[in-house]
Parts: sequence; structure tokens; C-alpha cells
Amino acid sequence: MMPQAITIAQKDIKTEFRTREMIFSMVVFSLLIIMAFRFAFEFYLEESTAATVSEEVLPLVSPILWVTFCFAGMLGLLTSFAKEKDRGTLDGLMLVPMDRSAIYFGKVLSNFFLILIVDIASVVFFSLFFAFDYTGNAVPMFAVILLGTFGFVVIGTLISSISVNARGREVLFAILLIPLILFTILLPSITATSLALEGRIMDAQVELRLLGAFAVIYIALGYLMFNFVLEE
Amino acid sequence: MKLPKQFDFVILAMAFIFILLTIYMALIWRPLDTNFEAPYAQKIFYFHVPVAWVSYLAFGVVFMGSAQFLRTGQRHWDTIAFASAEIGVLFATFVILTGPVWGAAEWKVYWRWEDTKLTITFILWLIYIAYLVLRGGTESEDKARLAAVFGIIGFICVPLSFISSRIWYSIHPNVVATSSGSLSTESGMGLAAGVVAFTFLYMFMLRKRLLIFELNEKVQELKERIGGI
Repeated sequence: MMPQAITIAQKDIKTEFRTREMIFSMVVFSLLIIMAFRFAFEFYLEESTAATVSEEVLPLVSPILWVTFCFAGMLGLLTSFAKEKDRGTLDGLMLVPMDRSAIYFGKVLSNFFLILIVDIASVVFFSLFFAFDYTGNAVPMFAVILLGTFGFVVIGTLISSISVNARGREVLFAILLIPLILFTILLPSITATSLALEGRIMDAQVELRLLGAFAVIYIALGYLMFNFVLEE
Repeated sequence: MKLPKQFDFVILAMAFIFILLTIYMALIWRPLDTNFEAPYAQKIFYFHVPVAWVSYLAFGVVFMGSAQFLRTGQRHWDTIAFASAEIGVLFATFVILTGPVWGAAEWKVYWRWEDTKLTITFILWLIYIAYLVLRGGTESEDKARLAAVFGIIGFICVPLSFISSRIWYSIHPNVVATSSGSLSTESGMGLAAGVVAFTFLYMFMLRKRLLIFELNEKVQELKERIGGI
């Protein structure tokens, strides 16, 4: 099953990089979100000087980053199945004699790859717009982002496959996904990222373990449920 | 589910009797509980807790109905899940509305975002509203299957949300899970009456909702037979 999943992921990434349509809009969207936050906090940061800005921005970093990842990522997750459906290629994928869950795992891998690019872009945009220096905490922070994004993609891909068949799928996708990830993915990720940035990644063991556990549970759910979603 | 029509009347009568009993026990029989800062507001407990119980019961039925529908493919499991979700959201709305009424009197604030129990109930409510949005108005086979999948995911997400709150912080009073017996036997009896009353009410509403589904289908069938839309 895994080789087939990897093939599907490669196909997705290849078609994406032929046009770069989606990745481009996701990166631009994340830029706009960060910019919106910068202006929203203008009043709060007005008085800060170059010396104090890092300290004042610190509590804002992980909430802003995760809201950006979440919304920009949703844009990508939404289209991963919608594109296939609109071009009629989903039926083609379903005709391939293999376990259907390979489609799911393939989509998870390609989405994970694309959203990671957006994550990295957002982190860079944040440091540019807020004049924030990640100094030495970048590695643990990226570890947390990697884990949190993986959980987000695993459940997001499953929900995307559900909402793609329904009317008004764009709105529906957000309505279905946000309550599910609020406590299970976003909250632990935000806490762990904050701790990582304060240089206390060892205090975030509970959150990291939870994120790992939820990713496993959501993978199991996706594996079990995906057949029912596609069944036609 | 093929019970005679008279059965509905029995359920409704039981619900009515027990609701009257609950009102009597809660408002007249039980003295004011002076352990609380707002003893009068504490009376809402006899409404709040049974309603909360029914909403959990209803969501549990959604989960069971969804799983059974996916397993067997029989339509009536799906209608049970959908009807139960509607009633569950209604009762969960009552929980969320009556909670702050008591909170405002006892805690002097309507809502505490840091309290796990409150926020999880809120998330639960959001998840099942999403379920209803997904179901929409249409009745296609496709929708039923997708909604069933989401019904299962949503139900599994709730305990996960519970775990994920790092500090298990809750000042919300405990009803069930206390070993020390913070609840007196008499209050427990009042509460039990309320739980029984609202469970009967839930059963009645569920049966009525299923009947409406059935009639809708019949109307649709008749329309098709005379060549309408």
C-alpha cells in the first residue's frame, strides 16, 4: 500500500509544481494573514523599540503562526480533493486496483509536503514583519511545527474528502474541521510552540506526546473511514 | 421501532408525570441548599443536569446509529442518527444556556473559558451543529454516508478534547464522579426523577421525529406516483 501512496503523492506534487498555482496562492494568503496581524497589533507594538520588540512579540508568536498555518493550510487541503473531483480524475484513481486507503495516505503525504512549505514561508514572513528573531530556538520550534502540522493534515485530509462531495464545500469544510482540531491539534501545538520559543521544550513533553497520540488516532480513523467516504 | 401508536401516548404521559414530580421535588420538597452562595439559583441543577444527560445520550445514539448505518446500510439507522442529532443539539443548547444563568449567580461570571467541562460542552455543541449543517436538507444516499462518517469522527473527538486540556482544571461541580457523596440522597432522588423525565421526553421526541421522516417519504412517494415533482 505504501509504494502506491508514495506514487500518488509524487503525482500530486508533480502536477502542483507544473503550475504552482495552489502553492503560490497559499503562500500569498499566509503573507496576507501575517500582514493583517501586523496591522492589527500596530497599536500594541507602537511604543516598542528595536531592543524590546522581541520580548513584547514573544507571546504573540505561536498563536499568530498557528492561526496562519491553519487557515493557509485549509486552502490547500480544500483543493486536494476538489481538483480531482472537478477534473473527474477521482473516478480514475478509484478504478486503480489497490486498497482505497492508499489514495488517502498519498493525499496526506502530498498535503503534508505542500503545507510544510507554507509553514516555513509563514515563519519567515513573521520574522520579517514583526522583527522577531528565533535565536537558537528554531530547531525545537520546527520539530513542534512538524508534528502539529502532521496531525492537522491527517484529520484535514479526511474531512476534505467528506466535504468535497457536499454542496457549498468551501464553507462546510471550515465548519467541520475547526471544532475537531481546536482542542486536539491547535491547543497542544500552540502551547508546545510557545514553550519551545521560551527555550523550555522539555516542559512540553505532555503536549508533544498528545500530538503524537492524536496523529496516530486520526490516521487509524482515516484508514478505517476513508473507504466509506469514497464508496460509490 | 414498530411499536403501536398508543405507545407514544404512554411515553408522553410518563414524561409528563415525571416532569411534574421533578418540579415538585426541586422547588417544593427540597429545602434551599445553603452550601451554595446562590441557593435559589442552585435549583436550576434539577433541570441543567438531566438536560445535559439527555444531550450526551442523544449524541451517543448518533454514534451508534452512524456505525450501524455504515455496517448494515439500512436507511432507518441513518434517520435515527439524524433525528437524535437534532434533539441532541437542542438539549445541548439548553445546557449551554442554563449553565451561565447559574454561573452568573454563583460565580458572578457567565462563562469561564479556562474550565474544561464548559469548553468541551461548547465544542461538542459546535461539532454536532457542523453535523447538522453537513446533513443539510437533502436526503440523498451520499449525504447519509458522509454524515455517518462525520458522526463517528465527532464522537471520538470529544474524549480526545477532554484529554488534551493539560491542566485538568474544573470548578464546575461534580455530580456523578464523586466518591465522597457530595450529593445528598434526597437531592439525588430529585435529580433521578429529572433524568427519567427528560429521557422519556427524548424518547417521545425521537419517535415523533422519526414519524415525520416516514410521512415525508410517503408524501414523496405519492407525489411521484401522480407524476409531480
